[in-house]
Amino acid sequence: MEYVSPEGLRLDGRRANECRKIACRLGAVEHADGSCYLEQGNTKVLATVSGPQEVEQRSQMSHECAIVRCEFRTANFATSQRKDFGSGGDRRHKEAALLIQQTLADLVLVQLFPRSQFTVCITVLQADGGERAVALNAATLALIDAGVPLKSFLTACSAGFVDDTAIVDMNYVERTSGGAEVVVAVHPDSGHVAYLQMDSKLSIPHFQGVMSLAVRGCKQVNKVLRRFVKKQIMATRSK
Amino acid sequence: MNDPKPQQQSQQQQQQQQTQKQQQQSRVGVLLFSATSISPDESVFIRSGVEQDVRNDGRGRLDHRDFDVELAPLPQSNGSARLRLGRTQVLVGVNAELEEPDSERPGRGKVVCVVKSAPSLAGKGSRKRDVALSGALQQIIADSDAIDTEALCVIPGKQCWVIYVDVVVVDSDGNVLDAIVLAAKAALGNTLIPSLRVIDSEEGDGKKEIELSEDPFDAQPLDCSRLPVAVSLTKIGSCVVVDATSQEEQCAAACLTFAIDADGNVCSTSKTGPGAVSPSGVIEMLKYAGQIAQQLHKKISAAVDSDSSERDDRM
Repeated sequence: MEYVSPEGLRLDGRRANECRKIACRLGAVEHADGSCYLEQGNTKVLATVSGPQEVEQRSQMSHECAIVRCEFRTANFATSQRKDFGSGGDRRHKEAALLIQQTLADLVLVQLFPRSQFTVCITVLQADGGERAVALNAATLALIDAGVPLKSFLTACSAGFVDDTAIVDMNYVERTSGGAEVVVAVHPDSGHVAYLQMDSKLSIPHFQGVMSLAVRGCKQVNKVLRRFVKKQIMATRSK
Repeated sequence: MNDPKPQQQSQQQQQQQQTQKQQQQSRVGVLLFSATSISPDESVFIRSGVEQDVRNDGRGRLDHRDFDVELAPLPQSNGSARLRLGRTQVLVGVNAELEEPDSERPGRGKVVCVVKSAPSLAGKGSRKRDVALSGALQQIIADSDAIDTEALCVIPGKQCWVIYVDVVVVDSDGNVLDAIVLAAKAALGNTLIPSLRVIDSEEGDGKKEIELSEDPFDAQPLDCSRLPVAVSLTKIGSCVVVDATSQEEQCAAACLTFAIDADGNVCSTSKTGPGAVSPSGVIEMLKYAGQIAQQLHKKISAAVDSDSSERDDRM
């Protein structure tokens, strides 16, 4: 199957360096302190943030800073073939939750909230590729909605290597083509990398190309998300 | 004992009895989602308000909250719906998968309902709650034979359609079961099952093969005309309240849920909570439930029909 046509068009009509369409809504869930429903293409993720609140497990409490607890779940209807992941989620969910927790623990200004906890819960409602990147973006937006002080507006993006071309923001079909996928999250102003994960093999020059494409993708996504956040803040202010 | 002391004692006894009663009445059962419990004073406030037909949000006892439903928010599933009932929000995704039928019923397909709460609502007792809600939804939708399972059979004994109804409770402010049943009805009304043909196997060994249609738009809707809606009536003090919020559920003594179909037949009933209801009370509740069920049916059918006609126009 051809994933990138000779003219440079992908299966959904995008070019190699174009990200999918983004839609986002802050405050989607009322009981949480902050929440965000984010769509990138057909991948839909809901993130909620509660905190700062009392630490649930006293043994984990830190006197210098807050702790961040993260839960990552996929709904039963999210994948193209329905799958029940159980109440705890499988190993991949736990791994994703751990990595996201480590990234957010660095992103949030935890020194300002000693002896407390932030709980970030992420649910993937529809999975069409790039779930971890969209989950990170949704978590950042939910933290912004909750008014939690952050170091920067972290954004994540995925990129891969298919048909000898580096492509950004892959969907499910491109992801399962067998090529590599790199997920990167950068702080937009400094350009520092906060999250980096790749599975599969890539030669070093190819990896550099894919990584720089992913970083450019992050900046694209960041611009779009900033516009959404400003619009929503203006809307609530005018009310 | 002397005269003043028995009076004091009886007063103390009365107070003790009152707090015991309040404690009993505040445990309505496993279906509660509340993270924060309410104080005895709030409970008294709600109860006296209900007696005077004024609830905390200004509704009367038999006023149902307005709900709004969004159809097909998840185009990747065969059918889906998102329903908001006040602050309660549920998301239902329906997926049809081809699987082997049960050995006891080889000529029928299956409907399987699973409810999960969003991880932000998880806490102590959330697993029990999810199991209870899954069981209640399964009883109302699947066990009541509202969906024709014989029509879901593809090759008797070998392959059948299994309709998975997966629910995620995103946010909760009481009456979650009713919201789930309404959303499931909308999602099932929105569901399209891909068309297929059963042909003889190419090898000519008498086996049958399934050929799915190549056209992604070649699909049939499910017959959901017999699907019921659920109306839960909560008994607070001596009065009955419809569509309770989570605060009201915490002062309730008992809760009766009736599943009523579009023709007004009662498909299933269930009672939760430690309190008791008199038989005449049950009949009265059933009358209210019937009236409210009619309104709910009208609204949900209108939403599903308008969406399906829009979909037909698009195709």
